[in-house]
Amino acid sequence: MSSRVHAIIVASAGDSSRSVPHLERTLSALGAASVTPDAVTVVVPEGNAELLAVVANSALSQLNARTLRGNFSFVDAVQSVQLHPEAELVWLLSQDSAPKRLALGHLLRVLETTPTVAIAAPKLLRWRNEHQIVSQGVTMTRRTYRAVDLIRGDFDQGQHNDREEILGADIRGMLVRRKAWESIGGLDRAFARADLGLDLGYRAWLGNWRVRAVPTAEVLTAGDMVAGSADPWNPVHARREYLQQRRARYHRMLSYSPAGLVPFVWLAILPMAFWYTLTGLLAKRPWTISANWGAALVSMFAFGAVAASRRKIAKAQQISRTQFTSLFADHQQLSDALGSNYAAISGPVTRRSIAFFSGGGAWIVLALLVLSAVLFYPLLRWQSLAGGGALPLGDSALELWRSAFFALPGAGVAPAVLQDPFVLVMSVLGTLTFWAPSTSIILLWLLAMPLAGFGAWIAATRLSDKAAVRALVAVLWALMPSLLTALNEGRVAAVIVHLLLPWLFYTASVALRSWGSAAAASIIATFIVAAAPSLLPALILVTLAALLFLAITRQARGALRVLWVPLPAILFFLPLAISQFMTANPWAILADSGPVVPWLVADSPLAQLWQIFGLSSLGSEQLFGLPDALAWLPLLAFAPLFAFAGYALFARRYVLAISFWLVMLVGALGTMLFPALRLAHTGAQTVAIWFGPHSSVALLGLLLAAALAYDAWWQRRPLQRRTKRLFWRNLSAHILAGTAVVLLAVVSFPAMNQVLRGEAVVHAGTGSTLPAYVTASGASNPSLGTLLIDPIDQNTLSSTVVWGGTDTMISHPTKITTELILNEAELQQAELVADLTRSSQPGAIARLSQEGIAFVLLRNDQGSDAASNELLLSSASALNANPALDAVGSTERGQLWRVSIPVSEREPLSGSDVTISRLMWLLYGIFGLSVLLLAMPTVDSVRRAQRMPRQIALAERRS
Amino acid sequence: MVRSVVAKRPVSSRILQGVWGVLTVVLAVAVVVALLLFPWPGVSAEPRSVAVAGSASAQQLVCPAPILVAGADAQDRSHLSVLSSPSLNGGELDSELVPEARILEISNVDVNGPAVFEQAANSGGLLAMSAWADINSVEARGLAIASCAEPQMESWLLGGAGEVGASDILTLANPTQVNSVVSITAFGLEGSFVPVSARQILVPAATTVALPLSSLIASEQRPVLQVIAELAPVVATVQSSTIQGLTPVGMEWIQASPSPAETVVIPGVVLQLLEESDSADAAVRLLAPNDSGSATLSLIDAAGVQVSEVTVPLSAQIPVDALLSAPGSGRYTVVVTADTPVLAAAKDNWVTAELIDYIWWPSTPLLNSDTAIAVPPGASLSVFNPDSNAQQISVNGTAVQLEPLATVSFSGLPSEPVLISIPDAVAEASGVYANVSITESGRAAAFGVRASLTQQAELLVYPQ
Repeated sequence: MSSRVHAIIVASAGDSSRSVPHLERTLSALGAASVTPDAVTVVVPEGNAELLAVVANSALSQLNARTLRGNFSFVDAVQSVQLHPEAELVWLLSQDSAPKRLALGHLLRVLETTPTVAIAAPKLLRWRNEHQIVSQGVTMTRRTYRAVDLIRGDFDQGQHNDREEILGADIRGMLVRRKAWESIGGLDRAFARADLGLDLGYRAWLGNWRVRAVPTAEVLTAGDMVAGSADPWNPVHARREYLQQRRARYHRMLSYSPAGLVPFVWLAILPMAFWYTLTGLLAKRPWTISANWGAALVSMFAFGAVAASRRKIAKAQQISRTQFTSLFADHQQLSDALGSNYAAISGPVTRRSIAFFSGGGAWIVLALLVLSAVLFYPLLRWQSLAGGGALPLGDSALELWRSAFFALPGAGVAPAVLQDPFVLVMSVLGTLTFWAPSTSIILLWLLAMPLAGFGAWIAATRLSDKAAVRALVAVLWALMPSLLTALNEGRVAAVIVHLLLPWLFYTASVALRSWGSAAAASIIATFIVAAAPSLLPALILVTLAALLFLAITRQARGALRVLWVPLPAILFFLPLAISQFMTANPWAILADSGPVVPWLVADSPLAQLWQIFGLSSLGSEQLFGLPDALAWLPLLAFAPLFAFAGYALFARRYVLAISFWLVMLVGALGTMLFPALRLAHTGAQTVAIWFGPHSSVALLGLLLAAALAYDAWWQRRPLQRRTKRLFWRNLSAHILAGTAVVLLAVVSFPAMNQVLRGEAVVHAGTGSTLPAYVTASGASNPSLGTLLIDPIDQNTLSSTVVWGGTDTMISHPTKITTELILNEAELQQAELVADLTRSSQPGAIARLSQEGIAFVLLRNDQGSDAASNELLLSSASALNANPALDAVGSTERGQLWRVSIPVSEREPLSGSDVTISRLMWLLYGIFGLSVLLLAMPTVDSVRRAQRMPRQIALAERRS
Repeated sequence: MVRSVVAKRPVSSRILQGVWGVLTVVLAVAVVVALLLFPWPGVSAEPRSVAVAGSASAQQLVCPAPILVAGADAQDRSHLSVLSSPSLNGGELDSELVPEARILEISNVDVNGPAVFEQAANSGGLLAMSAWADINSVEARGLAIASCAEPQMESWLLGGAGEVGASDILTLANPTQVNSVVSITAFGLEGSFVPVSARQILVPAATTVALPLSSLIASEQRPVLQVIAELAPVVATVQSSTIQGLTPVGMEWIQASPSPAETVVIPGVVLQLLEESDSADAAVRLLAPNDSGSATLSLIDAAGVQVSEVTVPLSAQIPVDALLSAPGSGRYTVVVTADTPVLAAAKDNWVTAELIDYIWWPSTPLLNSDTAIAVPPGASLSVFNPDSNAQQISVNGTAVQLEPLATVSFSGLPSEPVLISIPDAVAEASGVYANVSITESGRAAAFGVRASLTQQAELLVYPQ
């Protein structure tokens, strides 16, 4: 051996529990090698006594230590070392690269026998598992300079040993010819750690040298992140490395591209960053977003580093890179590298099929569909749903989307206001039947019971793999009084909440372990809170409780994902919250979205109990024909569920049971506390927050606790051990479950057939809340309004303006329905209405027509008591006598007049309002898309999920 | 989390679980019960409203049509002819100006009809007019007085009859520039019905339609009419006169009553003790147009003492007459309280020596703002205080203290409009009921005082 080798070992301060033993092993491996380097320099951080002691204690000869101050990089360390004057070869090592006995010998042989080779790179193996390859050669794509590992994570069976010529390699263990090292300029500090070896190899090839992989030279590496790429089995390292990789990539693009293309490359970096943001989200790696943009911006403005790199290349370049094209990554190598993520998802597939069809889920949903079709068959003929909180959705789905975030309200004369997130829920719903948005609400009603059953069945798979348990949950959830009450009273938002709650449980319960689930849960949570803003405190409370639980049990991993679940909901409510705070009306954030529907708030403890269980605000006499004294009787129907839920606390998985009880408590408190908030008003009435969604939350907690108990109560045992005692035990569980279904069906029966008997609040609608005459004239023009006047008593009336062909679900933003003071436009409207109903001067009509009001509708909704009738008649007489109004006549919705003078259109959104609207669209659009991408399942995420149990809290279960 | 097998789980961990379970149930039950039993403070936002006066509208007063008689033409017994035109008095309050009258033609009789007085909006003063007709001929005899009234969309008429000898005529006057369509619902012994000829009666703009009541209600003894106008309001009046044998026995104008209410007041009823009887009687006609129920009639004397009380069962939509007795002659007020909205009016025969006239005492609306009235010559104004507290009002500039439940009469009032001034109501119930009546020998008539429709309270608007 004639060539003299100078080995440089870089050690980092890092975690001394790793660096000290790793350096010890590396040094002892060098000492034990068949060939030892002629000089060894260990670069250690200044003042690190532990590492210096390791160096001092080493038996290696020719060893010296060099100390460096501060937080130095691998390149800094290497460049700080004065090479031995006689050294012909430089061996680059880190604290955690322990060469095997023959490694240096093999590397030397290549360099000595082939003078054109500048670099010999060993095969890097895993520190603790010598059969797995960490890295064996790196290349990159030819035009986009994407680094591609030739081999990474494979088991080493010598199958890759035939590859000799490579473009580059991991920097660790590289043996570099000093002559070449100096001619190509050594390491480039622009590449902090990642891809140093690739850059060095690339410049070597340009300098008419060759780079050779030496598979027989084996070096063990531990992935201490001192140099080279991270350990592919360590996700934390992969995260840390991401920023480096991206920076290196952008830097390569700017330094390797032909000079003429650099401006275009520079311009392409931001779009690329955007693209990688999307793919990062899709790959459930949200942490890549900041790293991606950071890397892009840093690279774009690192003009000095790019210039230095380009100078280095220019200085080194001897041949054109077309001469080594074959070394760049081909399509196969690229796709192999992209697919190699499989290595990280290992382990057996533990998850069994969900058994939706074989487990009876499909039959239950089908049965519920039939039941629903029978109970709600009158809806098949209805054009739209009317009554209670149900209004049409307008004519166009596009209009719904357009009204999201910031728009002119569809009812009233107030200027443009912030819209509720509820508009988004309605937009999604309306888009399902985009040709006739209102039909989607009819469909929702028809499919509510089967969809509730389906969602609950799926949710139950988190708790039990027993078909009967899942069936119990599905059937009971579809029969819950809170759902039926919402259906009967036209509470669209409460129906949506009831249908989505099981899905929230299904996804949020595993948010801890996957970003996909956390993102899906966050979307569902946003929809739920948008439909029922009063659930926002409950959502935050439950999240905080979950985080507290994680803190107590010291589980840091996944806490961020749990924290994420309520975040989009909070973000979507943020502008509204700020706006309500600014008008000193903070409670109004919690007000129900959508139409304001007056209802009878419970005034006795028993009635409040009824509300907890979702029973209608109708009295017991009306619903069950029971006298008030027996009104507690229907509540007994929940006794079997409580028996189960109580048992759950003393069975296995009791921590889960306690959390379900707490959810039940949160829901029950909601049904009692929130109706005390009378925030919204319609006409002269103040309306309390509807109890329904909270009741659904309480009932979900109860049902899930019951399901947990049913699962634990009913025990499977091998056939031979079936005992009499077990038989009775299981039989009692089934009897209790059966009783729960029967009793709930009995209690829900009166509510179930209300639509069928025509006694429900909901009834057939015509697709509009205005007379057909107005619909015909106003349908195409949302800029024309109809002034509605409702006499309340002798000297009191309420009025509003409905724009376009109908009042809709989204025409009543809470910003207006909870507003505390009248704005200028509303004061003017009040005066206008007084003038119209008290006198017959045409002057008032001129004001009407300027505002875009083409019709006046005098309604008689308040009943025909004499007091309001008097005002009704006198108003009608004043309107009739008005020469600028043409009487259209009596319609089913009241007396209608048409403004007979030309009507100008409603003032559109002002320029600044349009800007606000567009800006909000842009910001929330990007955010929403990001969350959607994060939630979207991919091959990888499905593979990962298959390796995790479907049920939750199984550890507790095994205990 | 406990990580042992069920059977082998340490007792301590099982006890711990039990404690947790019991704690959870106790917590849940305690919190729910606490909230059920103790009221939770809520937040209640007031609905947004604003009181607006609105711009005043033009005031229109329609005086009664001339006295019409049927059967004067031997060729056509149903032909109506004019017997006499009413005399008018009144004008604008605090103004020397005599307003100009516009005469509405009676379209189907082809004679001049009622006079209409108009005052443009915002012109200031209040307009008040009244009419009287004192007839003594073979066709009719008696005194009728009426206030010139503002048109309304709905009018309730209590009085008149379709029986033999009664020749009642309904006039529908439309002073507006818009055609009106009137529908009449009659209430009689068989309940409510819509006479065939009373569906969709067209009353063209600025005209009057006169209809013999017998053509609508045939021989109904105690008719009540509900007149509903569409498109434009009308003034509906019944000119009631009766002939017994060949002797005319009285005449009256019956004007619109206030809308049905649970409390109805007929103020200032003058009852006289006849020679052969020991009580002064009057019949009160009652109708509950919506639901059956019962009404209590209280007769209160001028000093505010209740002298009699009668409870009358009411069948929905069937008018009944109830007899009220007073121990002696004098001025009384009838207060009707019912458990369902009712209408009421009192009828009395006014017999002095040989002469006979009958009188309809109408119920009147509560006056709670300043009201101008024109009092016909010789008539007196009666004011009833329904409150249990004394009220201070002023009549024609003279302050008057009204004792609780007292009825006070004012006579010798000028022919110019008189202002009944009511200070801003302190309590909700404050306000008075008033009528104008003449009760002389053989001549009796009355009308109720109502506030001008243009002088209404502020309108409370809930805009959105």
